[in-house]
Amino acid sequence: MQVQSKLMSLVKNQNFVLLLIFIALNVYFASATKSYFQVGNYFNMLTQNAALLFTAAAATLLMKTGNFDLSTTANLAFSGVLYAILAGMGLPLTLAALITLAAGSCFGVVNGLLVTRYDISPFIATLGMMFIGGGVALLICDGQSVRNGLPANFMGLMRSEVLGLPISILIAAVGVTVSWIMAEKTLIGKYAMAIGSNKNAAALAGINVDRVVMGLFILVALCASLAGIMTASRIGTGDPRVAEFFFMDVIVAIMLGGTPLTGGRGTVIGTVIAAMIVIVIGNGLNMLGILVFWQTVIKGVILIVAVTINEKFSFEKLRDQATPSKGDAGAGNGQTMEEWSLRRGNIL
Amino acid sequence: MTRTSDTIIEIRDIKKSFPGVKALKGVSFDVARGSVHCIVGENGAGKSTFIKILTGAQPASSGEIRLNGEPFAPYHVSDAIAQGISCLYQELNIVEDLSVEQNLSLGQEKHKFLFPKRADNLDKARSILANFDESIKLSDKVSNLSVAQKQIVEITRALVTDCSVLVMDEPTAALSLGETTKIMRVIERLRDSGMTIIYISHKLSEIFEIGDSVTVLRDGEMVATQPLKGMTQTDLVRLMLGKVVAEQYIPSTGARDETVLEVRDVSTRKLRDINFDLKKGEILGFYGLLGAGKTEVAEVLFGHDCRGEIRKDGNIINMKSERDALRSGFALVPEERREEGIFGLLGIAKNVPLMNMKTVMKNGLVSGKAERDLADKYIDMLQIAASNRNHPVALLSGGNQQKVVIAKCLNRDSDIILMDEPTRGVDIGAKQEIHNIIRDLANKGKSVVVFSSELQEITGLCDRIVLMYDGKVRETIENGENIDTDYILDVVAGKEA
Amino acid sequence: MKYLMHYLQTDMQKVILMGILAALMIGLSIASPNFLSITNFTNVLLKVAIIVIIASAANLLMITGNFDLSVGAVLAFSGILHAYMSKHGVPVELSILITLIVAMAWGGVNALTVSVLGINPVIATVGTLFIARGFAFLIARWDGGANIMMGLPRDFVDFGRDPVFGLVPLAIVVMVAAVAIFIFIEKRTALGRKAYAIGANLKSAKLSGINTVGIVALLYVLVGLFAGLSGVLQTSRVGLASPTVGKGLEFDVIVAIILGGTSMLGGVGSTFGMVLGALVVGFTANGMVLLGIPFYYQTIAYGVILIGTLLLSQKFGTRAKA
Repeated sequence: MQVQSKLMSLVKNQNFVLLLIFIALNVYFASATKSYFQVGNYFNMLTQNAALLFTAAAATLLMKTGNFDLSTTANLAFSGVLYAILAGMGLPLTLAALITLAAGSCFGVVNGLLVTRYDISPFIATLGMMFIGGGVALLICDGQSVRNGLPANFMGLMRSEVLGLPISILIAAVGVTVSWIMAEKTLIGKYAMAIGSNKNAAALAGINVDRVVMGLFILVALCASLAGIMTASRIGTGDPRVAEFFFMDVIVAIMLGGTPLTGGRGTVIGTVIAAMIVIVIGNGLNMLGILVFWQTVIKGVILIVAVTINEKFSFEKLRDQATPSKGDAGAGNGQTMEEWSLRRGNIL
Repeated sequence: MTRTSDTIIEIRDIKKSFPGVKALKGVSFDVARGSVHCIVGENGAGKSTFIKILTGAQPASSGEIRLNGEPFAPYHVSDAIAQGISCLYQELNIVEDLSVEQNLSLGQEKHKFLFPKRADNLDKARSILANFDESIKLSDKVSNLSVAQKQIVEITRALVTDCSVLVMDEPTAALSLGETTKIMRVIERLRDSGMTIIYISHKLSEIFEIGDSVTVLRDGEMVATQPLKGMTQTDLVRLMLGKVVAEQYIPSTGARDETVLEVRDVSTRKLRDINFDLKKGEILGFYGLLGAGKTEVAEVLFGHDCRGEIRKDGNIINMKSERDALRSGFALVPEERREEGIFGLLGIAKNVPLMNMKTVMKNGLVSGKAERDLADKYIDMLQIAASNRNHPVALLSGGNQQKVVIAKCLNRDSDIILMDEPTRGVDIGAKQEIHNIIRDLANKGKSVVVFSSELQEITGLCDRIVLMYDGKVRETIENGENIDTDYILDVVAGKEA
Repeated sequence: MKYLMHYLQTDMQKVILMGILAALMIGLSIASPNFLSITNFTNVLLKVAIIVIIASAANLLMITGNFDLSVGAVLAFSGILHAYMSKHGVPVELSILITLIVAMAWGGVNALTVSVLGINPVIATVGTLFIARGFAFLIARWDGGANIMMGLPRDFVDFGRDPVFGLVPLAIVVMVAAVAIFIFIEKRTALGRKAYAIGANLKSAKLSGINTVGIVALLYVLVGLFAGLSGVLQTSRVGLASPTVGKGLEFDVIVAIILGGTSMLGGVGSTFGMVLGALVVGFTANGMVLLGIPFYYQTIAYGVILIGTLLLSQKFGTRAKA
């Protein structure tokens, strides 16, 4: 009985299910193509997607508060271009990177201000920043990729290795670990969850909601900016049109990993496994020589099926919980006057 | 009013205005240290606004508060908590996705670089919790608790932070009788230990049970502040309303001999073998404590799954959804008005026809004129107080919102109208009006089923009363002149006959 | 006066949009001699038409609190399907009919996942986006290339290019018709009323016996239909079908709708406001082209207008209420 219930709870644990899917995919691809199950291939996958991993991990914390950031793509492009321009001007790479990170974090400051101070919904605020940032990225490089005058060691960052590991994998590992510690071991994770679950209660408990949300927007912006620097180093140019679907991949990984758009739940580990699943599928299908359009179709189908299963699970849970307490419900806190005026003011 | 040594809070001419509304028009009174100071008033009198100012959730527009003789103007809730004023708000302010323990410390954690340090007051929390309900464990996730248990966690949270003033805004609204009594005892104990309690409640009996003095608010103004000793409930109600409303049972005038609904052996997860009949033109009341199964009976009649047999006009009906129920001739005024009843963003005119669009359609199209006429008809009939018919319903008072929900329901013209807590959170004047509407419906030949946790409402309104306990029907009694309320309370409290 | 104040309070966003639009018109007429010409206005309207046709339906969908990110992909798919069938011998009229039916099927997929199964619209419609886009590439491949341009029958492009009554391009006529239809639905039909009710309070709507699942599903199908129609119109006019068109169109549509004052939570919004939103975006882009401003300033302006309008309407909206 004990064993069975433990088994059941394991099956219901989303991260475990995701992990099983991840393993199954690996087994399948490894058996289907020889070139897949190679250390080199895994290194390749991780190097190419290091930015996605640590950005998604950090953005999980933001999403737990019920906020999200669509401007990461624009930030990534902007930061890559800026970094290349600064490097091309002859600045030391470290200084160029620091300036770029400072500039990139401005995305987070603006997003955070719009959301917390001006009560604009995260969707609209960050969508607006997506347009503005994308435009600025094109503007500073006049619509052209930055290639000229780059120092010889420009691509060095992504080429160097520490302890036999490519440095970008190390950066991803460190980034993911930091986000995990923040989510699980510090108060930030708890506060983020409280804000997403019941913002009012969090504020009344004395949590400075605005400051937490603001900080997490900046954290995500920093990650996206670093992602831009890493991408520019990897491809050797500052390309304003790079990684068009980065923000989509980030959000998809987070949602597949079990964090809903409304926040309140979710784990960094779930996000990371989900991101790995997406990465592995892309790589595996490539290895199998599947044509691009089928890859797109498969991506769409997997997305819908995965989330369907996911939401059906949590739906069942929610319903089981909702039934007993219904009827005892006390004062309803549904549409308050504040909410009404907020909606009129076009909060999402 | 000079400050004496045992005055803890002095409130001087507090005013608060919102866009278009003056919520508080100058409130001044003193709170004595170590007393239970009650604040009463009808909905919209300004109680909640006052609480928010006192606890730092909102700033006052003008006026001054002094705490222990020092000026006190909290910018933030944490300011108020730091200075010893904690509050339990009317809405549940508890985070469902966190555990009990995490909720208890939320916002008050001691930490080093944001890494939480081991909480030293857990034992205290555990003992306070055990006092209320031993079944709550610190590791339980809050979303798995019942509403009453959540309330208890919230009270515990306020008690764990050392506070000298505890503000309680309707803490017992969702609690059962037993739990309410427990909390009354705890409040007494807290007061005896020197804590000051500011207690807001609609339930006058509680106020007389534990209160020392009372402040009455009406329309944002302070009507009186005086000791409760020597006052009667009627005195207090007179102060609150400016008029006294007494309610007496008036039997429905219909013959009530034709059975429209027979419920036989209906069971669900929470109900067991429910049996009752409903007559044409009758008001049938369901009374029981929270969790006795009233809401579940309403749900079964409005299309929820159940075992057993429901016959309407002699024919077995099989309902699978709310829409089936509506088609079978039921209409529901739901319990949670804001969440399940109104369409807050829409005007009255657009709310009313939604259960039956045919009433505003001409040649298959919505007619603006028909819509306006219909709205005017119900605004007039139910005396809905609104500046115009496009007034968004979210901005109406609770009583008027409820009338809009009833109007929407009446417009359906169903034979059987289910009303779950029809007057919860509605002020006394509007309550009386809603009761008259219900009587009117019955006299016109409709059958009304009222589910209420307020005994006064049930005995003042219903022709027959179904008493429920623990998911079962214990007894069905006829209402009349000499109905024995003590006996009813015994039955619903589970006392064996 | 009282009514004027009331209008200003509730429709601040529309007032601001009309102000911006008027300022744009006046400013551009002064700044650029080419602005005030029929050709130029036709050009702007042709660009706006594709967005407005889809947004008419998507606006009502958003009023129920749902949205559709797959419209750009469905547009591309429909355009290329229509071109492929026309090229390979299917009569143009029949081809259009089949394309529209298939486009409705895409809407049906969204209806099934979002409305019936209850999947989050972001994920569900992004899924459809990928699938539809994938199939668009597939059709292009059947034809043996990236785009379908050569070998299209004459009446294929005639359909898109022949002006109606010799005056107005078909896309603009369809746009006006779509707007008219949805203003009518919004104001005069039970469907419109119920859509607002669903967005205002889903639970209340269910308990009031409104077929919430059916209505949201129907609207998804309608959005699919209009996205398909836009695809047919665009391909016909340009004479070229590419599987990559319409990237980011979903955001253009959402921006027009949100600028127009519709809330993503639903319950609030109007077709008229959406048209204003689309026009502001269209004329801004046009003005920048006329003034010779590099294209990347357009995206910046896009973001600034989006955020700025909302900030303004919030600021003035609250002031009007006070």
